[in-house]
Amino acid sequence: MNELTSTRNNPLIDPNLSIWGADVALYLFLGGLVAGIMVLTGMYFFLRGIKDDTPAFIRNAMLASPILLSLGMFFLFLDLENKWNLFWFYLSFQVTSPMSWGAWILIVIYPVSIAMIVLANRDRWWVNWFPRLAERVAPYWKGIALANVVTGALLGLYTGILLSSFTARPFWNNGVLAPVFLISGISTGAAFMILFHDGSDIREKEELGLMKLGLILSEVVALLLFFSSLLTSAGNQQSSVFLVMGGPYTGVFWVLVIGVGLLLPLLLQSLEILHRIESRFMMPAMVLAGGLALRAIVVHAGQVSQSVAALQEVLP
Amino acid sequence: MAKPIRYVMVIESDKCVGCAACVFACKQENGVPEGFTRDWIEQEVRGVFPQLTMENRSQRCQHCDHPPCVYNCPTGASHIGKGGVTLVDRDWCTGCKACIAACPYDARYLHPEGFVDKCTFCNHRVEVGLEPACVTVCPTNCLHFGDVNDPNSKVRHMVRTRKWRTQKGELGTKPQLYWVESQ
Repeated sequence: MNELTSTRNNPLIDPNLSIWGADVALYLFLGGLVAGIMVLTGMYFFLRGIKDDTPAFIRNAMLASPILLSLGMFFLFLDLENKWNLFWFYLSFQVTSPMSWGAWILIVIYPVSIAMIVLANRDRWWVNWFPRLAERVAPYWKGIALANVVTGALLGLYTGILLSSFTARPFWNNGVLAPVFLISGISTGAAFMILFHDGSDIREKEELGLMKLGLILSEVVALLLFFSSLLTSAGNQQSSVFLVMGGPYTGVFWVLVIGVGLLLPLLLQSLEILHRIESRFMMPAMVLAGGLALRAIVVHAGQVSQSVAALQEVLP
Repeated sequence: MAKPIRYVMVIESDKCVGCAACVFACKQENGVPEGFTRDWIEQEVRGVFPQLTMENRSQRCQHCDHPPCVYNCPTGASHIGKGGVTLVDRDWCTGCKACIAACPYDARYLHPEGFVDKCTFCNHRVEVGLEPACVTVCPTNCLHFGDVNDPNSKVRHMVRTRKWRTQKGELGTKPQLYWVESQ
């Protein structure tokens, strides 16, 4: 038997790391959501071209992306302990720090997503407020659409890369976390856009339903890969899985992330495709809740995961 | 050509009695705020009574050769200073706490004034030819500090002639606290 006592008792570090809380989880959720909207709309316009018959729900939903991103960045700002030094993020670039990449990606997102919004809404009065703006942007539509896919994907991936780069925290230290965050982000982005769909166009609705089904299934696969990767890694990573399989986050993970976020939407969506039920807001709301729960649990569980390994080492 | 200076600490943990003089010396020397600590004592008891062994360890930042805290700092506030020592530039620190998350030794803390703080190997003392405060006060002389690349240094001799271990080297940090047994 081993017994370890330590005189260290630094706030936010001991007994468990608790430096990042709800504000970081909210940012990760909103960032993923915006990434999803950008990837989906960028792909849509890249493949289809900018046409006048673009469904209204796409044109409306994409307006939210710069607003949601600003909200997310506000939460991130709240988390900074030395807010006056914020400007240093933009006076340096650290190639080894994913957080530094993220700071710059966030800045690129604004012009890229706003250009896409201008193109998709070029017949609306608030775009015509700025004389010839849409006309000037129009020739570059293909590049702008592609840039939305690329920067959106980078936004969705970098948060996962950031957390997975911490070798100190076994639950995060897994390369599959980045694709999990990206796929979950695209899934929440799609759910958010479906909230704007009025359900009148049946064909559109069925296409959306199939897309949603595919996204949920890919998220299931990504999560399976995430856990199989942890369970076949080093000992401290294997023991960190305990946090969501028997440990303190088990209930909330299985109920909110797996149940509400994946299985129930999967069931509802399948029934809807088979025309058994009609659900307009329930399914997207569940996917959004699941996405938020996933971020919150990953942020919290990752921080305590080092102690789990230490605890299991000490136990006989 | 002579190798650059590389400050390391060699610790004879079996000589340590866990008196925490190093902890108090550090607090006094560096003005560490109340309730926080840059170095600390770990006491590990192994075995079942009456067959017990105990080890006291004076812990601090490991001043890694591959410091994950420096790699994860988004502004360059965390940097490698003279002698390979890991330092934080307070004026550049945004308090994002990525370095705290990155440190496998949990050696960093958030100073109440909003920047991240940690052991500096007392670089202000080392610059003028003194040893770190913790090393000078240790009553059993179990802490040894010096330049491991200096052919005449005590630490180089100890690292070359004795069995040593480092902590969590498997994480690729190349830590520079060497734990040896006394002779």
